[in-house]
Amino acid sequence: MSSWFRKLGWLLQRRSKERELGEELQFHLDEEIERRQAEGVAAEHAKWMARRDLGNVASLREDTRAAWGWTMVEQFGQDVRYAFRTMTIHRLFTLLAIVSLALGIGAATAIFSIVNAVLLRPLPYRAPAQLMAVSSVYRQGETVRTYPTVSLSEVEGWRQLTGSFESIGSFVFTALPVSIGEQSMYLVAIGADQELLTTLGVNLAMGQNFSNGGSSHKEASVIISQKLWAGAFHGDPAVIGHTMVIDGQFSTVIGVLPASFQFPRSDASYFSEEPDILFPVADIADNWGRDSAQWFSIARLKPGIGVAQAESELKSVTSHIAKQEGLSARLSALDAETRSAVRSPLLLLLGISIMLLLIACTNIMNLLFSRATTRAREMAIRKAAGATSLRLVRQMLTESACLTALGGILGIGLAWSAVGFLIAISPAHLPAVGRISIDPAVLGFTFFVCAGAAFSAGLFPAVHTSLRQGNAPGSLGSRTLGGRTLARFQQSLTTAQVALGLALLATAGLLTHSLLRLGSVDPGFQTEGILGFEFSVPSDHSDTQTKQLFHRMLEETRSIPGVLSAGWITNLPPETRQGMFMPFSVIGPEVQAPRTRARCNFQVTSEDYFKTMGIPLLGGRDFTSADTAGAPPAVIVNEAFARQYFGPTGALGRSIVAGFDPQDAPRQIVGVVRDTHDRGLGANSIATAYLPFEQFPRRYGSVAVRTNMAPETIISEIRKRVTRIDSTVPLKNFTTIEARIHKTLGEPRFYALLAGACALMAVLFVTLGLYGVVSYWVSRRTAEVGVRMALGAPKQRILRGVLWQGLRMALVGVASGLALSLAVSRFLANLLFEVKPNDPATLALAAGLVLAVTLVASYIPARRASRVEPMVALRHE
Amino acid sequence: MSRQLPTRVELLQGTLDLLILQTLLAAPSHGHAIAKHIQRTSEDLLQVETGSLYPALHRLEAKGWIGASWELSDKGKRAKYYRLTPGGRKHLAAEQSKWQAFSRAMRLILNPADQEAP
Repeated sequence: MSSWFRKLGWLLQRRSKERELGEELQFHLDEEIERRQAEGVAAEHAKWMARRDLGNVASLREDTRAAWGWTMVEQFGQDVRYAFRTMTIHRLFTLLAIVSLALGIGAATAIFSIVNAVLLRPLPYRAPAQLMAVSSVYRQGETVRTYPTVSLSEVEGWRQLTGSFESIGSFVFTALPVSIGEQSMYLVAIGADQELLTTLGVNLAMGQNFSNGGSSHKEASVIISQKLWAGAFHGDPAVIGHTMVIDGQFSTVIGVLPASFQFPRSDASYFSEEPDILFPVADIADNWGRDSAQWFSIARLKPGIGVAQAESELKSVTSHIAKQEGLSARLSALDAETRSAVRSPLLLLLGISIMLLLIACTNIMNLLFSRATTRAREMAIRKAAGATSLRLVRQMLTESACLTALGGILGIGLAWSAVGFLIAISPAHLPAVGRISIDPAVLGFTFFVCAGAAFSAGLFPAVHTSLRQGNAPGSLGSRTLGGRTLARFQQSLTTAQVALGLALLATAGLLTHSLLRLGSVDPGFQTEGILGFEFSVPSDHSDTQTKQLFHRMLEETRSIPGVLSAGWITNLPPETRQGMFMPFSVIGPEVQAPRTRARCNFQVTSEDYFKTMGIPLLGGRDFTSADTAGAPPAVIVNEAFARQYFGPTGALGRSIVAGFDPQDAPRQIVGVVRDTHDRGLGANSIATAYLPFEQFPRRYGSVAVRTNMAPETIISEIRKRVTRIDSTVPLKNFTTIEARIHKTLGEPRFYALLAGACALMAVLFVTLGLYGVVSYWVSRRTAEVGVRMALGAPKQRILRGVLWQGLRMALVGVASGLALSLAVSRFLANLLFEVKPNDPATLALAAGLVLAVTLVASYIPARRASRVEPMVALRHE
Repeated sequence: MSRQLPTRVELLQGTLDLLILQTLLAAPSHGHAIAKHIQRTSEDLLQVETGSLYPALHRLEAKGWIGASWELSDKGKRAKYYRLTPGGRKHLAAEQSKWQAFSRAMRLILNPADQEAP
């Protein structure tokens, strides 16, 4: 090591080192002369003898310098200088190479930065491998359904009866009206127990966790996010002990989450924003129902306990304590649970970007090959002057490394500027998407990619050039050096490029096709002219006050000029996240004891909701203002519900008992509505029951407003009127239904967009590559063409001949590209909606496009060839 | 001087380093003096080529076995003096015993008669 430092030191002061060596040798010479003279040799002769003994000074100095250990470095320096000189001479080549490398490396880096943030970085919790997400498995006859949520009673039961877990936390996402000082807002919140933060192993930035475990101790405390602390509390260092009003109740701030905190399962959250507060789950546990499976649960395995062992214990305990038949539980790594949905599309994109880079590298390899032929003379001279093959290979690799390094730097710059754009267009629920950044891991990846690119693009041409010259020193300047094998190799490279390019284009095409299909699905409700907004009533309002407020709000909204109708619902579609799943039983003549206990999605609506959304009533009636708390309990179900629980006999007039209703209060099904894709266009309708608002009042929900004006124009009027009724009710998320649908397509659109961008670049590169190879072919055959034309070959024939050269590569490439697309299409199957991975129309379109551009790419050089003046061509030699 | 003289022997590969280190064991010295010392001590059997002496000196310096400093020679001229470092001393000892074992083995094989010779 010290020797390495010594050499480095010498490298830095190599000028003085050189001077010292000169001085040392001069001293040697002087001593020798002196010695000879002392022996009696005449001065002149002594000088001559001494010089002769010293030998070849240049080679002596060379050998000594080698001992200093930086010959390699010096040669590298020379090579780099030479590479840059070559680059400045071949400007067009260099520009093309660097730009295409930069695009390829930039795309790969940008996509890897997403993969890194979303898939690779460990979850920001203590020992994340031990964290398990608990899901409930519900078996009914043949069908087995898994829900990501469980009930609080189950969590309490597991805590008491299992031994495999260090701790089990539970939580739920919600949104609450909050006032901090003068500001009132509607915040996404997590109702959590003390065990949640303990289980995750999160250390608070300030303050402490809730003081009571479990879900039964209410305490007026709140833990706030770093964002809220910095925003609403202006980063007050003495924030602990402050109070804020959450849902009408005073709560004391007891802790601040660290900046690195990532809310667990945000991917499954109902809301697109990250939560801002953590409040005790006990506050809402009774209201929301401890037995209903709407709570998320995360458990930490005890060290040394395996997943299978813990799961089997969990299963046996669950079947023991379950109040419902066929209920069981499942463990899955929190990591996988959070990331599994995005893994395959992201890896696919990464693959696509690497293929793109490969195409760019192939282009450069082909260009280097072409140039190698023109540089034959230079290489032959170098070799004659004593350069070894290895030395030549190194020199040429340095050149491709310089190209790649420049491309890489530019590419990182591109990726850097793309990150902001990527975050902006990324779908809401991509986990940890806000953390996308060009960090050391990403830079490391880029470095390896660049090194790979430099080698893959440079090695073959370098070896080829350096080896060839040995056999053909006599043929300086001859154009026959390229040889047939090289031409064939270049052609197969181009063919491979066309194949890869087509495969990428086909993939992007399939994703886009699938996106279009998804976008054209009839959601079952109308999308135009409907505005939605959310609101929440603070809990200091009594139930009566809340009901009155609802009615007055709807009335006021309906009376706005231009508003045709308005209705209220708990979750306005399309909503792709968790719904309100609650148990219910079916009552009927053929279903006697035991009553089946099932779960379905419950929604609470006001009258006119279905009319506002344009959801047709297939039978029965809509809710009316007569469906009050005192009226007979009523329920409207959708087709899926009717089909699943009543079959063809018809659901109208039959009754169910909802889990939250008093035991003997059956609800009669008074209406059946059409199925809607209310959980996203790609998701099938699930059994849903709608309850009248008066009979099951809620404090939060959404209003749908149908208007014959531009929906945005009435927002301020709605705000004004609602504030006039009650200024403590926060309103938020004013969006049109169209915009909400657009948002649910965010994920497939994101993937299609990135894949499409890569594919278009790929096609561009392939076109350039093919153009380059055909042009090169033409330029090498100018003389031949001249002879043929002089002998009377028609222009058309020359044109066709060259065109055929390009087309042949394109055709073989397209054929193998189609085969490649079919081979890799199974990776796509899960990402496509109603489009088969081998969709003939998409593949044909992609193939057609690739053929068309390759035709253009070979037509240009072909035309040039056909316009050759025979005499000029013949003198070309 | 002339290599063809039978009274001269070629230096074996790798022995020059050992000779330099051994020479420096006595006292620090400059390149010219080292060469002359080796020549004289070997009774002119070994002649050190300047072309290999200086690369060897610089290589040994790079390895840290010898150190160098510019000092005035006995005739008052600036010369680069080399001296043995502790590391070089250790290396010399190791090489010496290796070399002695080797030369004893050679002698035993080439002169089976004086096996018991000291």
